[in-house]
Amino acid sequence: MNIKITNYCIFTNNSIVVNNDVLVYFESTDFDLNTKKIYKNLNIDYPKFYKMDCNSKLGFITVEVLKQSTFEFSEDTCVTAYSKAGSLDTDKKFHETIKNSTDFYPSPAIFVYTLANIVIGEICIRNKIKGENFCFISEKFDINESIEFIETLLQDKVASTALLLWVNYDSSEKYECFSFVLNKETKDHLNSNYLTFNKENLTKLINNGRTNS
Amino acid sequence: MVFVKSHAIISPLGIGSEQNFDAIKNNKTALQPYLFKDIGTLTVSKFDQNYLYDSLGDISCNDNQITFQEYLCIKTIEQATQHLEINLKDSTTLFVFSTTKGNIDILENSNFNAEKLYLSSFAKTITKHFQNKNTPVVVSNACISGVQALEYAHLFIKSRKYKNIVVCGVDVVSKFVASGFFSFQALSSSPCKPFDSSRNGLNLGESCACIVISEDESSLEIKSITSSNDANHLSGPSRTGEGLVKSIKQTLKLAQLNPENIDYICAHGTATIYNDEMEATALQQCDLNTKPVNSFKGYYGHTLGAAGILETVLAIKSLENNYLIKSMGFEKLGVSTELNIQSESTNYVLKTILKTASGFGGCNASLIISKS
Repeated sequence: MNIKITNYCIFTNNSIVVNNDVLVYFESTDFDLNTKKIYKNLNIDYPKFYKMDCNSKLGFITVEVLKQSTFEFSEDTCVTAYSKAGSLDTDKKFHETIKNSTDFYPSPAIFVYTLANIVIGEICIRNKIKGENFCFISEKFDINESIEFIETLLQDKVASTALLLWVNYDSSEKYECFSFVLNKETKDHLNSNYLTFNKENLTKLINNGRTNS
Repeated sequence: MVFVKSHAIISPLGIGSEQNFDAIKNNKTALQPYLFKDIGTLTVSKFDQNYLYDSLGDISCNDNQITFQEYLCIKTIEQATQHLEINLKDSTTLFVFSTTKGNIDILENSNFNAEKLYLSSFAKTITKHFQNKNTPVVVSNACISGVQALEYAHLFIKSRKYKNIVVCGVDVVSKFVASGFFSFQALSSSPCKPFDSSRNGLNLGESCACIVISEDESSLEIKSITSSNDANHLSGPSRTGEGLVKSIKQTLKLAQLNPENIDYICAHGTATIYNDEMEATALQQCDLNTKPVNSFKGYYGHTLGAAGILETVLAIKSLENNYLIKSMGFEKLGVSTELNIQSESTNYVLKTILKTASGFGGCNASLIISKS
């Protein structure tokens, strides 16, 4: 089974690269500043964005850019997300609200984001994706493992499309998100320039996405 | 084909699947009042850690920084694999973990290295103990983590990448999690009552459970497992239940089975107003609402990342013994569809069972196991 990368977007603290174009080079590495910029530039009208924690904003914005306002996900898209930190940044913020007896004040608005998979929830809600959704924690983005997983998944399930994500928010200065839309090859793809979903191409796209400053 | 090779539970109700099943057969519940600083008294299921360390003994290792959660996993995996002939060190054996918060209580306790907050590090500590060199897989997908970890294992036994996969789920009731659920007002101050008309919230619980999945034939076949997303709301299930319906229907389809073939449903049944109503609706839409159904959360509370594994083991014990366990806490039906809640523990011929799970983020999952 041949799988094609039909869309991708890589968001780091230096730039956003989408489908071979560098959308923007950031002057600052600050997460809030950069996501605000993207949100405004894309004219995204989605008030729920303001409630999201950083990890969810990171994944959400990357997928919004990937869509380029033209792409629509099928309902059966399999969403697979990997992360190292998961919700750790938000976990620490939540912990601050409960650690002292004198100002014990747990907030449900923060607590709901103290799970690694909520970023998937936000993406599914926005894009009406109702298919398989997997959430993994790993030490790094393992290209071999993720390729093997997507291949095995698409082989076994009815879906023909997958959205693969690496969402990792460490701090306001250190974050990155890779997103790839993957499709089982069909006749329509035969004359396209779509890259095959393999180690060489994935490595190339990630390296290109990361080294911009 | 994919089979269940063995299983184990370590919980406040006992050590081993057998001890746990006997306990719940005898109506024992692990739920008790527990005073949380700054929160108050909650009904929870919590380990007596000292008793456990005394009963199970130390773990000999160079790294004396083993957390309670890591200790539990190691001991539970040992329980599940002690009589097996599989080589845990072998590259054909993979470890898959299921947990929502892992070592989160480290935030309160600086005795441990902060690196252990990363779930990948938590997992590696355990596989290092068993001298397995494969990078462990960690599934962290809210309350469907357990069922999804089994789904991962199913995929990779089926694809023949591994011969045996050790799936282990764990979570503890930390102040972190208790505070969070408390802030949601999702907790009941008394023992929870799944599907009951007077239900008013869930109880949190701690447990560790393990299932060894294998290509080696056994009498228990895992037919299929799927997941889905409601795409509706982050912290409340879809009122229509369509996400869970989607997963159940797909799981049935992949197993090439009809609703009539299901003998019993082990539900998620958290005892919140919304979850139980949603599950009832979903079961009805799948023509499953006449089948016997129970929730184990009246015995163990909601064990989060462990729930999907723990409850599947108990469903497997039911299957192995042709015995249905009553849904603890249930007295009077309190959902808008007719359901067949198991109100007493009894002998019952079982061949094929369905397990369901749902979680924050709108995720759902279901699995079918059949006995030959």
